[in-house]
Amino acid sequence: MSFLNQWNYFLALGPQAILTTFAIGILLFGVSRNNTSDEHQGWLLGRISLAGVIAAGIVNAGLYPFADRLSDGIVAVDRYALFSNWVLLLGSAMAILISISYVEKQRIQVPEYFALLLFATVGLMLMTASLDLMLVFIGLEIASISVYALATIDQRSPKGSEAGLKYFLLGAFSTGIFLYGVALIYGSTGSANLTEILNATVDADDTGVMLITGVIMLAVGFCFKVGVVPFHMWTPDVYQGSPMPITGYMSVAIKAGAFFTFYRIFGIYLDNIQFSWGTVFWWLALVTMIGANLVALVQNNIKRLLAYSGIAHSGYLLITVLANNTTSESGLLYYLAVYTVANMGLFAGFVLVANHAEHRVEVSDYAGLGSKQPFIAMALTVFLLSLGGFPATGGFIGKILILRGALEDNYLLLAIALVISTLISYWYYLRLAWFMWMKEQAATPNTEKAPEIEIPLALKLVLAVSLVLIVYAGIFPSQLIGFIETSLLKG
Amino acid sequence: MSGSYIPLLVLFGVSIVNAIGMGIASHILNPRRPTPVKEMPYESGMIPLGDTRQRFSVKFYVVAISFIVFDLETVFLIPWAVNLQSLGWGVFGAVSLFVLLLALGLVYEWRKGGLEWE
Repeated sequence: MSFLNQWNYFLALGPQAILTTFAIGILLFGVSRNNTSDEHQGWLLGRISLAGVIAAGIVNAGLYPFADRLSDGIVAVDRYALFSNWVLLLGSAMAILISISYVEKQRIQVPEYFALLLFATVGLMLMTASLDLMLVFIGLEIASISVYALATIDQRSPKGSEAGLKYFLLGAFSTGIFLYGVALIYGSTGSANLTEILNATVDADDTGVMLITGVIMLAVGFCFKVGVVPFHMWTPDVYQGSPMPITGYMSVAIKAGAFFTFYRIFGIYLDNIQFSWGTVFWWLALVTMIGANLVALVQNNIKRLLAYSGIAHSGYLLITVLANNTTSESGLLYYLAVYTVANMGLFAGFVLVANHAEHRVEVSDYAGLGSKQPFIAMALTVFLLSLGGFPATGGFIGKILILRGALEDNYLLLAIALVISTLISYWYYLRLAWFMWMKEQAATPNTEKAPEIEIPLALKLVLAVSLVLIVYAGIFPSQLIGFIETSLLKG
Repeated sequence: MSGSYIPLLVLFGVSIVNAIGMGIASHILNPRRPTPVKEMPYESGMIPLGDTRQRFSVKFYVVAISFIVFDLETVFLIPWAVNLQSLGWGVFGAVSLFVLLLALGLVYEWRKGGLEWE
């Protein structure tokens, strides 16, 4: 099958088209009725958007017979893209489930909220599947603009406005750099198509300054989006100010989508000129791992803590782009899948403890959670251990794969730095767990008494599913690894 | 390859030197006979009253966005219309989808009150 029949283009974009249809439907539903202050709109529209994600998942599963046969367009339908769709759909499904009670309680504009969440997912899925730098740019912008709006969707929250404005300004700036990089690459290779860029860079001897500058600017644009250390300044403030489910979505889906694309572009199509970006990435990975983990040690706000933890994970993942063999590619996919589940699970717990609002976000607020809410505390502890890479959790296998990949390509120093920074990270992950299990809540009269936590069904589902997936991926990793090995680009 | 850009660089240098040189030369050479009127912020015109940093309504912004959307629609539609015969029904379907999506956006904007001035 080929793209001679242009209707196949629509087939290639099936999951994205389904999600777009649902998002537009939700938007129109929001303006079709006069009583927009309906109490249960969040519940209803949340279910509709969840149905959209599931429908997109079904179409995604249905695309497997066509995988690697629809290959001559600028949208790739390879198993790698389909795998990244799974991760992104899983992340957005969990974000939707976490949001349902939150949007009702915070009286956020529900239709726009869910529609933008779906649009962001569409953009990310478009980006990970694209074989043309212009399409990468369009996907990146669809996702970014949706998330800028989502960050500031609670209009009464000054912190939300600050977060949205900061994210927008810095994001627009980084997009400019990214686009300039694309322009320079286009200028020196004569095409924005990744396959033609690959062909143009086969002969690495006559690589001009212009191409290298373009490639580095492209990398800088991506590093802004995933928050790699010299370009991470926006992350803590934006994570802190955004609504909590959106913070979770940003930390998971944007990062996963950007890294899937990052690897496709740099690991595969710019592999011939690795000499130009390899050293840069080496230093970025080193500085990111060490720096972010050190700064995270002194964070007391859990959203800032998770922001720095996310930056540190970007550093680990940069190693896989750099090492660039089949082991490290499986490591990237495994790590992103597990990281998505663990981080979304953590944010589900945070939303519960914050009682679907933005208070009680300090580490000390978690004192005594273990005795009052053993299920939540247990789940949160497992997710924290998985992020730290503790044995018998999914994060451990992911880190082992990354380490093995790094050692196969002789990045010994980076592997040592990864181990050391993981050890540092245990301090702040376990500090939160220590507060939950070992500390009693301070009985000062002026602090407001912690309300009883009721767990809505949707959040119960998120916590339980994440818990099962994390433990399963940690104890029986072979099935997931086997599936990932069929999804590699370097097959 | 980069050799072909040298003329551009020379032009760039000449224009920078030219611009700075003119500024410096006029600063050195010009006669100075200041009068109170000349020292005002605007030599001819009204004396400015109040702060320049006034707030203005962001309603213009919604109109501007709508304008850009439909402006770009024209950019896509006219080349298609010119080549309508040779492009066939597949492209007709694609363009119809494009117009449909824009129309849905217009419906949303209309219902949301984006077209009302007050």
